[in-house]
Amino acid sequence: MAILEVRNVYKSFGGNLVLEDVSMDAELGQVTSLIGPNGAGKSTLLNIVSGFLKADSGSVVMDGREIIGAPPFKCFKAGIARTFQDSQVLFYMNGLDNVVVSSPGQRGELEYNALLRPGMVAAEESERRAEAMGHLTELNIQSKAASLSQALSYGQQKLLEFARMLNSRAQVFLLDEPMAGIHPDLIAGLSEMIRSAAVDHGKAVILVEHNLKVVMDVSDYVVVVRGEVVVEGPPSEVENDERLTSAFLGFVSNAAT
Amino acid sequence: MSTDAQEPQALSDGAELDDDQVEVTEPLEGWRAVVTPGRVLIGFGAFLLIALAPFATGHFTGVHVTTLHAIASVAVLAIAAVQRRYGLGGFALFILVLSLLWRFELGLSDEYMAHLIVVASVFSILASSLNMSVGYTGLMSLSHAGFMGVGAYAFAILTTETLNPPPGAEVFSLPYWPSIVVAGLVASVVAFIVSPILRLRGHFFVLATVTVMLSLSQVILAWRWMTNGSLAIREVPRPVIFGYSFDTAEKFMLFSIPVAIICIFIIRQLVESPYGRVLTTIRANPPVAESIGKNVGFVRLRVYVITAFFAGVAGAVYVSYVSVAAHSQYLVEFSTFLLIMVVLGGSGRWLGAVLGALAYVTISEVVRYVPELTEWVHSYISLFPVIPGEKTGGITTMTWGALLFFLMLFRPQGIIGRYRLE
Repeated sequence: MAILEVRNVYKSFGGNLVLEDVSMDAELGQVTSLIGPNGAGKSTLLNIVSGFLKADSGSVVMDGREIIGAPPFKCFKAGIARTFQDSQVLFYMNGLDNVVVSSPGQRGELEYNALLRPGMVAAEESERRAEAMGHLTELNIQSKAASLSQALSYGQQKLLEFARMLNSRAQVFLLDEPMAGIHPDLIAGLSEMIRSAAVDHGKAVILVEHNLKVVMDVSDYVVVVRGEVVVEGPPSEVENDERLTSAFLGFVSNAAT
Repeated sequence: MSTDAQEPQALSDGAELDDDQVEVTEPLEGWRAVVTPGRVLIGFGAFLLIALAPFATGHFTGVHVTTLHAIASVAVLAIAAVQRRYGLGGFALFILVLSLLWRFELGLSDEYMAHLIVVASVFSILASSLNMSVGYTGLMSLSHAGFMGVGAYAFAILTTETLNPPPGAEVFSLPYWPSIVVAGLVASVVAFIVSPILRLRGHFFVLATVTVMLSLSQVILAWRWMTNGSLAIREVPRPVIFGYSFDTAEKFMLFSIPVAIICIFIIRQLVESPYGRVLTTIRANPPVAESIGKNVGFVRLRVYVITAFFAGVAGAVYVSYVSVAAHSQYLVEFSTFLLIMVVLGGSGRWLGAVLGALAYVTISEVVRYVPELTEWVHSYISLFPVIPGEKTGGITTMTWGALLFFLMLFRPQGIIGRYRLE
């Protein structure tokens, strides 16, 4: 039983059909990659799953609950966390605050508790901070806890974002091109991090990535999209499938019909 | 840039930093973490209340205010120097010099000093509420002067019974104390009614808030049956506790300072909690806030309504002090001055708004006394030119402009901005 089931999703912008009958699953403890050429609808699918876009039809079931059409914050509460293509750290907040803020269900986020139950809020806050500090330490950026996030390098900002996602206790991680703009030397480290999110933390990771080598190394399952699902399977099978090449070279519509 | 940012990092690709985005948040240790400027200022507020109480029964002398000013300024100056918070230190020094100058050279009256303190306390409530909206949540609102007007009029209508009450005052009437809270609630309700403008973003939102403020002012003018229109409501009462009436500025100060402290304390508790962190997240990046489970639209609505409440309370205190509710007091100019207070003090810092309000009141007085100040300097340095008093029509505004210009040039983050330029 997959934790996230995407079924028969259709999406068009104006007259342009971007996603056509796309279905896919994500399993806990596995990395599922979405690949395809530019404009294939990978990011659109990610936005639909995380609630930032509304699908025309179809269903997204997270842990047995239908979440299609729900706003992003409800998708998060259902257990879906995501990153964005550019680094999106929170400026003028320090590293630790950047991470703690994603901790779900903080009672201190209600005015009532913040004003009238300061003791409870303070106790909860120190727990959450310790947990967030643990994630910073795990990614080896604990020295940046007190630094303003905009003073970090791009790579560190990516790590900070990753720590924020780990701290969210979500079941499903959506990663939108995490390798974009990263120095080639650091790609191995990030790949390892993605693997460990799935293997050590038991998360279901959906990875959208252009770097095919990374995708084939990291993934347990690969879905090739070009408006529709062209081919899917374990990386060893997909890698040698000629439909992969044709999807990127643009012959897919002929092959499919 | 601090040294540890330069040490080689496993994941450092040498991204360029903007010059003005440099980290300074090193955690303080020992007593420096305990004795913070904020706490010193709160202590000073409490001290001021206790020390001034005996004098309010009869009269007190401005010398006491000057002495208290001096003690507090020196204390804040010392703390600021130790913590290397130059903005705060400069502010304390500025207040110290001015308060001595005022007392001994310009000879301002006691009542006038008290008047300034009352105005400063009302403004610090307003600036704090606006800071929660602008500085923390990123809601660039110019409508708070309008909410202040709504609170002021609601209060005036509820309490005024003498001379020329508008017909509406016979329908709505309440005792003094509940009226303050009700005035805030009325402002909140108005904020809730106009809250669909929160769907707008950026400068569209700013323009919408200007519209709200102008509309509120016109509604106040047009609803004559309720507000007396352009005739204004006069003789709004002052508070009375157990037969003790706060009828002079010196006495009213003892009422307005506690109200300000309570309001600022509530705002501080909100913005320094996990709730405040949600607000700063929304200011920094609404999509990210949404993606980590924060209901951005709903939080914005709550902030707008809560800050309108405090603006309404400030309006009630203000109208009770000046005793006249007139619609022209709550207009564009005033909205801009509120914003100046927030920026002046340092937006996104709860104490910044308070300091901004104090600095605004102080600087306003300084620029009013520019002719006297030039005379005073002239009496020591004869080369210094004297600006004659009768020709100063525009000199006060010009001085304000020049001060703001240099402030934005050299210290754009305000008095206690979070980020130091290096």
